[in-house]
Amino acid sequence: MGEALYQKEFIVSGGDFDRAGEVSTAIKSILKSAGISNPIIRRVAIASYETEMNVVIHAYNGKIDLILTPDSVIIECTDVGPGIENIDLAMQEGYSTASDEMRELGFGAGMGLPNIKRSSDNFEIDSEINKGTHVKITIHHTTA
Amino acid sequence: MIDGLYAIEIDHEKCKGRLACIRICPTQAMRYRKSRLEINPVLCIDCGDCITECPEGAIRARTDPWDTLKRFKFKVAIVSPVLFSQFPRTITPYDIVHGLLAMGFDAVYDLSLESEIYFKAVKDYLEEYDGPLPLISSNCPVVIRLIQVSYPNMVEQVTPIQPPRDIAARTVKKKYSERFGLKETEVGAIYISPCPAKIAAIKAPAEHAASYLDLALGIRDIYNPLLLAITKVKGASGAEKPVLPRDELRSMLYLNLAITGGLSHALQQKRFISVAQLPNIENIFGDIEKGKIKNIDFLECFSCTGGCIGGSLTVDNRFVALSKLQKVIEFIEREKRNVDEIMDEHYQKGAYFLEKPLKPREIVHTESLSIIEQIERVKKREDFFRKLPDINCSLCGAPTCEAFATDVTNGTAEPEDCVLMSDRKMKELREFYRKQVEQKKKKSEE
Repeated sequence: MGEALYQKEFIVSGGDFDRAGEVSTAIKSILKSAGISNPIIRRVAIASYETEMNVVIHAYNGKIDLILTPDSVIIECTDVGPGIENIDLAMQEGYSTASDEMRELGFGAGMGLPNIKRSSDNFEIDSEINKGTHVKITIHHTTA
Repeated sequence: MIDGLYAIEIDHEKCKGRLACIRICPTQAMRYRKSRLEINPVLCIDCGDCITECPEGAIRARTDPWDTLKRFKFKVAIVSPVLFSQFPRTITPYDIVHGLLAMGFDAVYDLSLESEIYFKAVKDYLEEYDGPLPLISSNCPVVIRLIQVSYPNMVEQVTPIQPPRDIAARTVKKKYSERFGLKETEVGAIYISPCPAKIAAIKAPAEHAASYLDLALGIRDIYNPLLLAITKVKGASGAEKPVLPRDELRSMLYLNLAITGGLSHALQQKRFISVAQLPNIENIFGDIEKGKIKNIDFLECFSCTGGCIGGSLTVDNRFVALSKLQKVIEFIEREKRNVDEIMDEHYQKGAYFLEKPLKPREIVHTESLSIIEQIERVKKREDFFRKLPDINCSLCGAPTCEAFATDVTNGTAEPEDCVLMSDRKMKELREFYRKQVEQKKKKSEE
């Protein structure tokens, strides 16, 4: 995978719908100026947006790291929150634990994690109940 | 002393370095360097915001002068629906058509039939399309260019259907050349345009094919002679209702084309939204790229407030114009013919696609850097940006501190161009603007 050429940390606060989406916008603009190809940017944009929204919808707070290596874009997210009880279930399309309140806002379609996985070349997730969730997304920018 | 691009030209004599244009430019294509305005043609999307914004009138739309029409044996005016909203309420669409004929056009062609065709072609395309949603309207050339420059991932979402004005130009050339035994090149298809973007789109279509339209005249440019011609014609025919040159102006949908939401009439069962103004459009395009916009089939976009009716080559206040156009729509609706009948006669499925596929605009890099070098550059830019005040004063000549940091990293600007970093620059600016103020004072005393 090679060493990190670039790393930047972004903070996401749970429940802050006002600023939700700003992190993925910032990541997109960095990748653009780094000359990453358009199809890769789109995949990263989708994966990072869904990741960011998961923190906003489900967690208390979290951080997202953008890491660029010579061959990959890595999005790593660590949140403090309720955690995911059953990851296999959460990975299924349409499954959601979003509250009624969130669903009323149009979130919680149960497509977040499946969408992230679909956009990534490598996807790792681990979670601990009442502690939080850690997600690592790798998208290769040289293979495309 | 004039240079420029497809849509606009700068009069450097008139430019006083007031920086309004570089601040408004949606793609940050403009810089003011060494007391001179520069535009990056690769980034310019022909929106004309700088024309409207310039307090000195130093930026103009490139339009074709009347004399260039003389090369055609038969001149057809293809009129934007916006034209019918620009005159006092006592002047009807019929009067306007006759005014154009009196001005020297040999025929006037409105877009009522072609708009119906366009609506149907868009609907048919949407019906069979299975790519990423939403599809985006193809009517506004600025929106298409914005996508080509800033949202290259989304080009495939632009509906690849020719706008009504191009479909009409093709019809006009065929129809009149056959009728009068002329070559198609001898029939001039001249668009009466509400904005510089549609003029630029004729000279350099986004899909790099040739437009069927030959020339365009801005509404603003023909307004006075047309008004004069209308007054004369009206005077001559007295109170009589003029006879129409053809049975046009029947379609309500046609006039709606100039207003935001116009396409919704054609796409009634679809999940449809309409967005106007570039900042709003950029907002929603950003959301589409992130996958945030999920349940929308069709997105109608207009660069100008309210739709084409707010174009920078119009004359009337856009809100007044809207009210007038709505009155015209009510007036015409009563005379509407059965659209299905007309479509059975004219519509050919699959015949209205863009001549070539739309592609992202190639941003030419003078040097090809490796990914490692490019990332180094990003870091360098971020480091430099941290030293800047981030107040976007634009005195360096770039619109924002971010843009300035990019310029410095790319080597097109010096760190010392920032007034807060260099006394020299401060002194230069003081002298330059002091001179401007003195000139202004002198002028007002004269």
